[in-house]
Amino acid sequence: MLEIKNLHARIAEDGTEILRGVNLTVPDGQVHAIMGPNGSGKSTLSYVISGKEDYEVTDGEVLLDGENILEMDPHERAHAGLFLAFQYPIEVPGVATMTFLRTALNANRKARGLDELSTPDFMRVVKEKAAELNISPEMLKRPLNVGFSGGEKKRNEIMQMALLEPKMAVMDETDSGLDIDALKVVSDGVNALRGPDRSFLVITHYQRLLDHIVPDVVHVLSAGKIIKTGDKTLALELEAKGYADIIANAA
Amino acid sequence: MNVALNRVRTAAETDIIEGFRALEDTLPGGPSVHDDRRRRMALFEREGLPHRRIEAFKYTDLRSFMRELPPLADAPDESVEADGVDVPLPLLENAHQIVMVDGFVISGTENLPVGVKVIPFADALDSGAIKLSGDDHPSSAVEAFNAAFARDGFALTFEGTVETPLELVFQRSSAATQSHARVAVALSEDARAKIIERHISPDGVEAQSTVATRYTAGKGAKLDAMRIQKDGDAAYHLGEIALDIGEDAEVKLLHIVSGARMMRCETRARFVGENARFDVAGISMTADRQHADLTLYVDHLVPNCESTETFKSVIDDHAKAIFQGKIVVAPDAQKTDAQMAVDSLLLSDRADMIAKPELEIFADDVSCAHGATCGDIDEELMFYLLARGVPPEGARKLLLQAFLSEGAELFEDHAFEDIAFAEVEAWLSADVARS
Repeated sequence: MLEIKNLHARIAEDGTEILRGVNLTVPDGQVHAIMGPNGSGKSTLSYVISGKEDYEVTDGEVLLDGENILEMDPHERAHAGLFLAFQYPIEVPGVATMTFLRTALNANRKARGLDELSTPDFMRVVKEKAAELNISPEMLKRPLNVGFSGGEKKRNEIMQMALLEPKMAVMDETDSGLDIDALKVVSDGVNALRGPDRSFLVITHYQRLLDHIVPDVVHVLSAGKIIKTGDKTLALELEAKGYADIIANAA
Repeated sequence: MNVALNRVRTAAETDIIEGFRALEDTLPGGPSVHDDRRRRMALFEREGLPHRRIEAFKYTDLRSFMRELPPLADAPDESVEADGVDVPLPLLENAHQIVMVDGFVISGTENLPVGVKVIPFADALDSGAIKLSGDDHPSSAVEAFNAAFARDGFALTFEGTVETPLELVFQRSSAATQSHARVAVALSEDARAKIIERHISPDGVEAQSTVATRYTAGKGAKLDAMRIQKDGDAAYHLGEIALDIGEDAEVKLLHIVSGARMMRCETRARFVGENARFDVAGISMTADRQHADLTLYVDHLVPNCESTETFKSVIDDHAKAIFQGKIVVAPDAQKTDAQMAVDSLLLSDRADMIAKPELEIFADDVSCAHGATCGDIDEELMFYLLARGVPPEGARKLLLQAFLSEGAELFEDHAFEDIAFAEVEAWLSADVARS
């Protein structure tokens, strides 16, 4: 379960306040969507949860299964079961995708008190997960995300999620840069990972993604606060009417 | 120009000049060889050790580095082990080692692989297989110093395809002495050779070494060469690689630098035949107060040749790394393709990197480029790895490994590539352990 309580955060460099008291609870097994206009703080929220240094938390807590993850370093948050699917997955030249996956998986396993996977076991698991997401063995040999298309990068993110088996996945605009077919593959990948012990926070601009990954709850974020919460029909309402009405009503 | 004439000689310069006079008559070679030596020394007497007012030595002032000179090394006796010499196992199991200790050949000149011949130093001097004159190839003051003092070395010739790698070990004993080794390697037409130079000395010994190697790649020859400089932490290392690349030849050269308190190695390559290719790379890893200078000249003297120059440096603590690279394209060298890239990562606020890539183009139909970057580890890359649960030390190591290993990609021979990866891995592990 993820609990965000009165979260305030600003950009470390210039002090601009972005999050102004976010309150949100995602119970185990649920999918929550966060929608909101440009500049409302959606990506900032995902970065603050995952511990990017560019932001400074000035107030509030983020609890993962009751533990305040704001006191942890980014890699410790991952070990605790948090996963961020990046909006723009970073290209890492020189690091083969396979090497990266293995390093990441074993670091998490070690932190969770499990043995490192043997090479054959690791290869088997990766090949299985990769096949489900249409990721070719050729892609796995290439440097991480280098020269990958937008769709390939996002599929790679979902594959990493499948390997690392997080308790809580934050998906930052996973639909951006995807065509309809890729959206389907990615959504199927996410849906396959849904389960009673895993929750999702899906950040998106558009309702379209939520046709594929159907949320239990939809929140609207505006000017750094959740201004409205509803069920999946809220997303449809937003799609039809835009954000202006809701923001005006909340003000 | 009067500066050189009027200035006061340093103790080291006086030692060099007097040392040469005392040594001269004992050095091998016939009268013309002695003449060559004396001419090189005469120049030295005029110019002295190169210093910062000489453009090429602006960042590595040998006059101030080499204030004093340790005594010349004695020839090692039969039991070199007693002198702290611990000849390492070959990096490649199948390699043939030739070992020099303190500038003297001690083993490996017999039972050479088929296609390889060795010529002893004195014979090589007299036959011209090893040249001291400096007339036939551009050279540096370091090379002149080496030419005057080299007491031993050897020449190798390669015929046909020689699959067995030759490992040339330039080892130092635990004596704080100066030593000078000189080697020539010639690949005849269509020959194929793989050569590793290893420069090794114990930590804590203030030894000074000069090593000059001349490579000649004949028509259609293929040479894979790696020069690993891993001297001890108090050593001074001065190196020179001269390279003549013939028609249709392909030469690959990788410098791996991680040792010595102070090092400078000059690579002087020139294309002497058309349609040849030269790929040179460097992986430089420095920490503490190390000073590491890789200087490169690539002369495109003839048309239709290609070269790539890829240099990667990581610099930690107070260390200082220097890369100077100059590509010259002669007026006749049309259709030259030369691509130089110099990338450096500073791992500490006090680390220093000087990159000086230069292009001098006199032909009009060429494709040449150079670029230099310098920075620290990309925070965005770090965060991506951290967010996946890779701990900071592991993430840093992975990124540095990736950055440096690109320098080793020139080899098709995976065994060579693996040696480079292992050197990078060893340095990074030691660096993580220190910090």
